[in-house]
Amino acid sequence: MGKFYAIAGLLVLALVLAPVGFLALRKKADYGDRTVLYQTYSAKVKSIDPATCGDTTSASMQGQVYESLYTYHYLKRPVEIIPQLAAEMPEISEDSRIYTFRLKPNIHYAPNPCFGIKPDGSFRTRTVRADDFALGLKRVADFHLQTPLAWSFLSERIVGLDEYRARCEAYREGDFSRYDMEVEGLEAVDDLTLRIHLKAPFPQLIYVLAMQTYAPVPRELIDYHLATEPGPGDERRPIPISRRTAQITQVEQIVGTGPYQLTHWQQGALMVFERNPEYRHGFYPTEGEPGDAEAGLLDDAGKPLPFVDVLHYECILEDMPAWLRFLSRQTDVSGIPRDVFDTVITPDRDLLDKWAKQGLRLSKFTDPTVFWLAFNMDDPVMGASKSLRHAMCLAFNVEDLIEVLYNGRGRRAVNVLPSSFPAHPIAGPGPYYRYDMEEARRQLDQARSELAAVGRLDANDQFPLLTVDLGGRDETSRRMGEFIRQQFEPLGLRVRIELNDWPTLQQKVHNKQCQLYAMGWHADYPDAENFLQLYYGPNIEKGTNNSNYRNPEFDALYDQVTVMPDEHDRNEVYARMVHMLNEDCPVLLLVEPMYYVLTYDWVKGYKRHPFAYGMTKHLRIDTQLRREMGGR
Amino acid sequence: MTTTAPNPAILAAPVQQGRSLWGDAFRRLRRDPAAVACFLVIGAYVALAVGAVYWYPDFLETQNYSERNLPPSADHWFGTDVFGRDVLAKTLLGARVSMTVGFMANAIAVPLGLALGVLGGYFGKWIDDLVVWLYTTLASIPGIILLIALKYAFQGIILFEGTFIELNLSGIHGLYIALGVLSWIGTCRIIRAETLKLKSLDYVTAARASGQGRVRILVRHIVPNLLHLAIINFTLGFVGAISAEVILSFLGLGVEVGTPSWGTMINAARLDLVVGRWWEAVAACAAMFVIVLALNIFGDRLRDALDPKLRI
Repeated sequence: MGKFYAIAGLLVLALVLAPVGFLALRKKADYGDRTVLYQTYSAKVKSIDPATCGDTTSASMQGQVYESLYTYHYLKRPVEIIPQLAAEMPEISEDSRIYTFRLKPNIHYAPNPCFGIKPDGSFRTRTVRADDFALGLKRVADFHLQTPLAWSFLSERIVGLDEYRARCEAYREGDFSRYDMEVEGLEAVDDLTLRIHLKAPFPQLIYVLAMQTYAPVPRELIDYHLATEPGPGDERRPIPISRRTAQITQVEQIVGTGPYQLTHWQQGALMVFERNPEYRHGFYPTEGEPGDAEAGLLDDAGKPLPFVDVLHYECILEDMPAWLRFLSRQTDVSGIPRDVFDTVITPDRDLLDKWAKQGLRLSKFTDPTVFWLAFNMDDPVMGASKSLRHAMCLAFNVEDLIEVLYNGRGRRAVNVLPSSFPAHPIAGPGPYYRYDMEEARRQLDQARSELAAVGRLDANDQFPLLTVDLGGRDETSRRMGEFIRQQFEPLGLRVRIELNDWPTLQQKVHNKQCQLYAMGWHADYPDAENFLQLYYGPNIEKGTNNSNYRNPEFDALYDQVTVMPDEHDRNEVYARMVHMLNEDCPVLLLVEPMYYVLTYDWVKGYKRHPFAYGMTKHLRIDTQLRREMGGR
Repeated sequence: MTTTAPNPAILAAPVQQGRSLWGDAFRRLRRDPAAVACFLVIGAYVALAVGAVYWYPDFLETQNYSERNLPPSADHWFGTDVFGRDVLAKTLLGARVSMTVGFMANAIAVPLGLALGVLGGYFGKWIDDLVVWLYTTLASIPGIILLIALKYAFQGIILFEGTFIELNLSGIHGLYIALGVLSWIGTCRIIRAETLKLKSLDYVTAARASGQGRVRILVRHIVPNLLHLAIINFTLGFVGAISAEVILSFLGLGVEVGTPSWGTMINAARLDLVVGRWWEAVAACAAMFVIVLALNIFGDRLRDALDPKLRI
């Protein structure tokens, strides 16, 4: 019997320890003596193809690899656009319709087998040419690629590009001969000169071309990775057209000019970027805004980039495990989860001493982001009563929302533009974007008459049940839902909260099935047009105006402003457009969030940029200090 | 061989009335202190579930943002939640959801299991094959996965919209149905096996020989002898339904937003525990622990009382 118990005990012990042993046997990432930045990210990377990029997580990852013609100065605020792959700012014709871009010479792609293999087995590279940019733009216009965001900025802009997109429909997805078709408005004058012909002036073009979505794509990538596959021996054989896909989906298919190349990607788990040996054109800025030098942000002025050899990103969806990983010094940079905020930050919004003593540094940023509840203007109730929308805006206590659910991290949005945009103060706060229950009740009385007139009150002459759709099923969304109910029910409005996963919400919004829904927008570039296009009537079809707001007067101003070259004049018109939105209230504005980021002392040169991605190349890690402080 | 006259004394004596199965079970339960205690606990939960709605009619409007996340105190025995609402009130209102879900899910599952089990067991042949195939197939899929899939499929569906029997399948009604249609298998198996046994017993054969129809035999002679099993399954199924509600609410697939339930409380507390806000999780877990324990013990004792074979 004793033997039995001994064997049983050992067996149980073995079963308990088996997973531990298994985990211990897993190969740990070994980067030798190279400098590594460890970080986590909290959402799946949906795309590694620049053309199909449409979310911030994918964009921040792609920013390490792809570059475009222009970028932003890392340190200067207000933001300043600077050449990246372009040698200088473009030459613009008198009628503002022709842009000529000169490229920097000797910019090389990261080595890749698509350029050939050297005798020693290493991969060849080649320099960037103007026709690579043309191909990148053609891919954005490709009918067979899902490029809603990238295409929304170029649609109806470049001569011949919309026609090209239409012609692509006749080709099969795997037939890449469509990329040989000429586009009248895209002209590679020579290897280092690209000319773009616009249908009408488009002053935001420079900003658009600072998005890595429009990065150059070498034709060799298409012909090698998307049109052929490994065959017997060292040969490659053509992939039948019916089996080809036009999208870049594999790590080895990524060919960029950026400071890093993606070397490992485990979907939903890990991304590893390693230094691109061909990257030689990036240098740390020598100027910044006042205070940068004192903050040590100019210590590395003029030095070649990047400083870090390897970027190690782990995907951790829940913020609390990511936070604990940061506290155990396994990662170098982190946000602060909502639920621990009060234990980290003082009521004066500074870092508590105990954390500062542990070598943490706090950086605070207001991103050009606005969150709102959108009213579906095509909904028979929401669209029929402006007073109902006014009442709901007035009854929503956004200050409480910021305090209760945002730990005070944010400011009330008072018009549709971020407060950092020049047109924001010109437009001023909307009259209904404030908390005033008395006025809300007056507006609601008016709304009752409006809805009664169109027969939208229920059988008891009450307001119908309203449905608010939220994009998330987690506790944060649930709390948001409860908070929304708490705001509207004192007004006598019955509200049902529908929790959806994010793709379902997007689908419902696209199909116009929502009545009210939570949404937001992060600026792609520092021009109010980027926000106001969300209310432009023709953009309903494109899917970017998803509150389905229609106002011919607004649309006419939009058509007028988008071709105005002078920024000051544009801001005046933007302000008039914002006034219209303030009056019509197609959205219930909530918050401009404020971000709190923590870094350890060993991370140097950290400054969050509001628009640009791929700025990690400016970070330097003091590995000696990290080891001394117990980091990895 | 002799003949004897009937004994007048025996004839005159009153015939002693035998105790019925139910009466006997009731007597046994009444004498069992553990069963009585558990019954009282269950009764108290039912009373609280019913009473909580009257004690806290405006719970959803009791938010007080200046009293957020307060620990237990004399004013708030169980502390307050993220919106400054009383956690005790939330726990009691959560009992209502749990008890309702337990009752409604079993009100669907047990009759369904009873009906299918009786039909399969009594009629046999293809009907039995069909019932066995149905529950074997369902049982081969992990229950929680099926439950989650069903709840996802119910999202956004409202039946009989605008009528007095409107069913919002995204919320608690969907929970009743999902749990009900997936929890009948255990009951069905037991009922089918018992029916197979009962239909070959002499009294059923006698009923058949006396010319009674199959429906009459089922209704008069078989189903009444299966009811005790149905009741035991109802009690034990209660526990499963309460646990499932908690799990689904934890996954964000349970009750509607704004409806207090133990699952949503535990889910909410998942974030709070890290920063030492334990009271909401403890309140919900303790409330669930007590009712689940009481139901389990009472179910066991009820089975002992109703199943003659288990009597010593």
